[in-house]
Amino acid sequence: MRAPLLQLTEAGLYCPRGDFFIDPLKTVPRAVITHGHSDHARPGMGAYLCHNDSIPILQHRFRGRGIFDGLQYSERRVVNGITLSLHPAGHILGSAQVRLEADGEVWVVSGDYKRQPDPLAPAFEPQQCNVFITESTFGLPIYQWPDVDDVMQEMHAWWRGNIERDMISMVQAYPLGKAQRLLFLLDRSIGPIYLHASVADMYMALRASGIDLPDAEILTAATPPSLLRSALVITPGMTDAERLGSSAMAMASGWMAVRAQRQRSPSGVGFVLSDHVDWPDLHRTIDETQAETVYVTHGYEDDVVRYLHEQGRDARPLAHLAIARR
Amino acid sequence: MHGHLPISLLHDGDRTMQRFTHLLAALERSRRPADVVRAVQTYANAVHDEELAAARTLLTQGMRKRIVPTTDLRAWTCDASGLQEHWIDRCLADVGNISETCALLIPAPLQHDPPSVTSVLAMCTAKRISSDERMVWVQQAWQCMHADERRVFNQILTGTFRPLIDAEVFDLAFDDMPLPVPLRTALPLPSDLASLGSIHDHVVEWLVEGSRVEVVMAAGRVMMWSSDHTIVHRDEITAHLRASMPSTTDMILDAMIVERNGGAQLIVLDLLRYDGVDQRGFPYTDRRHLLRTIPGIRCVEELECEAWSDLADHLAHARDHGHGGVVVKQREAWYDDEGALYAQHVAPYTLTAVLTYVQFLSEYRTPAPLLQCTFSVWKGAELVPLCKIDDTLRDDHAIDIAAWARKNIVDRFGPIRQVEAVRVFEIGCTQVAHAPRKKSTLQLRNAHVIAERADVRLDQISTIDSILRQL
Ligand SMILES: [Zn+2]
Repeated sequence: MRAPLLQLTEAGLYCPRGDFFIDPLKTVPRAVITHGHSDHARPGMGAYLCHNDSIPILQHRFRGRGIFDGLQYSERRVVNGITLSLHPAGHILGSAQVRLEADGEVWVVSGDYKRQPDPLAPAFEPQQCNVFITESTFGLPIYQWPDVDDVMQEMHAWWRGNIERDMISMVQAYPLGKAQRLLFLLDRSIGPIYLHASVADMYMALRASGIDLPDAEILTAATPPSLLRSALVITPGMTDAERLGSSAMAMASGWMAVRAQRQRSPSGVGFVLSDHVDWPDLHRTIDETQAETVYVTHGYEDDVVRYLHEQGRDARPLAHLAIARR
Repeated sequence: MHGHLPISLLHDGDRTMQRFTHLLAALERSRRPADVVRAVQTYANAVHDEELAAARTLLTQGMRKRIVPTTDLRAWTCDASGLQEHWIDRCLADVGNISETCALLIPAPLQHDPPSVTSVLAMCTAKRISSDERMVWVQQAWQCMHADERRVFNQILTGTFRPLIDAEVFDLAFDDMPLPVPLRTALPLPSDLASLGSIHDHVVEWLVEGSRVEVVMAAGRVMMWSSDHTIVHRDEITAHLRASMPSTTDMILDAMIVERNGGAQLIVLDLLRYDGVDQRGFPYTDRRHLLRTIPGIRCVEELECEAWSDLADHLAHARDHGHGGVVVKQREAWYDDEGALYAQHVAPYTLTAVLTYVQFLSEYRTPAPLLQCTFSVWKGAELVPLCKIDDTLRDDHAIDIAAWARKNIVDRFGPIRQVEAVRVFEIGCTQVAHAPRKKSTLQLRNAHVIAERADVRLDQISTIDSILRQL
């Protein structure tokens, strides 16, 4: 039997025949990157291959250091006899699934992904494959995302209520991905939208690279609180809450689906908005790939594997790839 | 999955369960009376009177009667979700309660058309309903609701819906009773007293120790609020106020309830509203003058001071008069003026202690969490709990501690969480007394957090012996 196309090593997922890593954890000569989040794209690699839209993100995050090579979605690249291509993952700008093909066998690494629409990420395209490696951040059946319109309606009602109570609205969101998605989703007729410095940092970098983002104000130390009366501030944390005076804080995240997690969050208020697949979409996706074998990583591996076994599927936690060498 | 059943008997087209769920969310976010009243009014404007009455019953009395046993809830959830029962237990571990777990496991509604709260309560109280009929009804209702509505629905059915607010607070949304206003807090008196200006521009009063209350009198009624926005019921005080003042009185007082000789006494500190007029924008001298003209109330005693140096004398005698220190107020300041109110406790004791236990006092969150922290000191080689503090922790610091504590839980004892003993704080108190029955053998009075002391190591914090030496 042939060796598997991918192995799990200390440095992460490795393709021995192509001699490259996918989202490596340690410094390696060649890295294929699914998307620009810091738990997937790390600095210091010899060379990077990713989607074209991820390049400005990586360049910004690594302060320009690195050798970057970009692909379009579906563009094929042959590396030592392995045909590699990237396909939309719908997670954030530039996010991609990695498809590897050799001798008629196809492996797909999902990276992070979602099936809900995103203004900056083309819709996820399921790839038929023999082996599918899927994330499982929200891999429990309690995670079923509500309609985005309903969530935004709630957030807008909360924002309006805060204006009535003379409080600035602060929404905690990841600077890359969630923050830009919110910029598209928020209703500007309610009030101005401000970006906290570290959110603004990524916003300006993306704009400078030619990405079309809606206008937003930048929050600086000099912004007088009086200008923020009816504002909503997108912030990565609670950093500015004190300086700005009376403010209401909320978190936008998939974890907010569970009340106890909402109450455990620093603000106690949450809106269910996620850039990852929920439980129904996770299993719909697995079905659509028609994979014979599913490896599960990045979250609730054991639970998703257990459910797939109940469905009669061949599924394993990704850790098994480390000892699966035959 | 079972078939889609007709649901006409359930829905009222007004999405009232959704509105009720939104009301609950607003109450969870804030219990400030003004916010509660606003949320109740918004709800009342959107629903029928019958629905409002049902909401009032639930919010003020809760639903303690179990209509559906959890075994049924589980079985029906498996049926509706197609999941095996062990998934319920698996998810329960992450979610924490069965009503919400089941609510989250049901697939999204085909058509969002939730039942009215009235119809849910009617079903709960209906006699002569077979359990099969009830099952069909519950499963139909699930299919028309979002997860958060299903959670509330399940809580009602399983008798785990707890009362959230006092009926008196709910009813404030519908009468003309003025709402309490934020009470100001005193700053610590600066060590350089001259920096405050002339003593003659200030009034010096005793620092009264007791429970801070806001007394609202209007429409022949008297309501007292604590500083954390709950209603304080002290009949002897309210009865006395009602008896000694005309029923037309429209007034808000900043006051202190003092327990003395087995009875409670109200000591008035300031006047916030009089004759229907907000007084907070007038100088303190005017407010104080007006206060002295009101019969039937006792005001805080003013102290004579000719020079700042007289303050030390008063401080030295505060305990003899049963007071905790002195307060300095600017004569011409508005009520809310920053830096117009200073307080100095009698020679406060200080010590350093480590945070060892945390209790989240309220299941529902107010803007600042209601935390109770237990601080411990060394007794030999053992850390023993010395004091519990909740009052002074209601600020951003508390939010930080709450977030940290939740991540650093070592053990659980009922509602109390033991946390890793690493965060050291400087604690102040006005009195240390012997308490042989306590493990620490000490009892602190008015214990409060002065500051976090990251510079003090765990092995350097106070010991029982070092505290005793201070006495
Ligand atoms: Zn990601």
